[in-house]
Amino acid sequence: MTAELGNIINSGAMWACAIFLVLLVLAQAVLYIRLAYKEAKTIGYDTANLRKSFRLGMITGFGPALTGVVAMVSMMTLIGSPITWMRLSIIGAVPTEMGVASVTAQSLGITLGGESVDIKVISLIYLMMAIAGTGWLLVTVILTPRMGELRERIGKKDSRWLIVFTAATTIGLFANLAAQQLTTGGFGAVAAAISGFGVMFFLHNIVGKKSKGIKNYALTISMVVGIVLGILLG
Amino acid sequence: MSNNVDINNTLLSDPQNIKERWLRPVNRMGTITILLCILVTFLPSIYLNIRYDAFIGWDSVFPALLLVVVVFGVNWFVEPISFYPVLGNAGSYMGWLAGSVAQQRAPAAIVAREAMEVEQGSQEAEVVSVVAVAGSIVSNLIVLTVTCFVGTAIINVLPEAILSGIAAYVLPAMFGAMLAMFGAKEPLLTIPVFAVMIGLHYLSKFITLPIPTLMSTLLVLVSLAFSILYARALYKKGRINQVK
Repeated sequence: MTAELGNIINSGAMWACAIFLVLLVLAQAVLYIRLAYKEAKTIGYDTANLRKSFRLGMITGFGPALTGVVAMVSMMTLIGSPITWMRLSIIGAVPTEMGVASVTAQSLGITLGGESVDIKVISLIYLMMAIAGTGWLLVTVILTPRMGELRERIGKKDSRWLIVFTAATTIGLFANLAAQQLTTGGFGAVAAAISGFGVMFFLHNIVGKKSKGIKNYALTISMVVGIVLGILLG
Repeated sequence: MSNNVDINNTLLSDPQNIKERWLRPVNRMGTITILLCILVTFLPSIYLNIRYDAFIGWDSVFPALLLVVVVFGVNWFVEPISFYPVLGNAGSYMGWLAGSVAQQRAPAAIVAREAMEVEQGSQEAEVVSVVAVAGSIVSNLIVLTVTCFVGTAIINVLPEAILSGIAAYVLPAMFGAMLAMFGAKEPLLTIPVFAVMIGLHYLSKFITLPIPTLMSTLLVLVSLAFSILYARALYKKGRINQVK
């Protein structure tokens, strides 16, 4: 990415584009809190409990939110700070958003993070991130009011295959993306991918069985080790 | 409000009354806010296209669109449906807008309901969940915003060598890690799929198709198709660990 492109995607205008969404997410939360307080008064539930619940929710959400910090800064270097701020305030976590960005780059026959990323590529990536997110949001808007009856209709047998099907698409996606990085990125990328895989496997499946807390930081640690080894060996 | 407490209580817990009083405004508010958000998510792309004439052309949009739909289309449906029992209506609107449902939203709702000792499925449980999910969203926005500004400052002072190292190696490290996270549960599926994809990616360098970008698009589709078909075969033999 050129310095000029870096300036464009981190410009004040891009921050202005991004802040609307962050404010809307905040506004929605505030509106629902108000609705919940009104309902609590109607049913005669002590609103002091709601204040405690809000605080508990904040505390519960805080730790997991912190675990994404390293991934977030990496995402900022690849596609810009304002878009990262905006995208992470909604739906996907970093791996999902980077999955969308990488698949988009792959459809153009290029690798994200490389020299061939220009403003047209970035613009297409921003568009595809918006479209991918719209999928989740539209389904939520359309299905949520009808969810009760819908869940009854999905039988137990089908839902088992649905679990496998979802797992298979996720494995297919990351197998393809990891294979692409391994075969195009040179020795450093091979080192980064293998150490990322190895560290995650170790933390998630071996250490993670004894201490659950480590799982939350497994992605961060895998990425840091992968990047460091990539730089050292590349 | 009625002075007769008994009649009042029956009325308040009547499903029809809850639907009118609570679910209707919840659904309306969720729909309006989310539709507004959908429009706003297109702003960065629209801005670049207008200000810098950055539109890449429809012939590049369609392959990318096809891949995004194929890769993520199933999740669009499966995830909102599977988390609905934990989140409820208001929680679903907030949870799917803010994302990270499994890591942040659902735990917040569950922790708060347990701590407040509310009865499952009651209106008390509903309002407690809503406020807790909102709380987790506020802390997420705080962490994001602080990280974003501190991170931008850090990026500005990091040496060029480290920045280009991050740009080059963050994706292989992350995708390798994600493959281990999701794949380790199903080695019988992951190992063949990954091996085949490495082979195909390697071979694809020696083949030139009339449309150069067609090859990489095909690779994504082949990867998904192979993984799904292989999973189907393992599933029929009862070799998938997650549903044993």
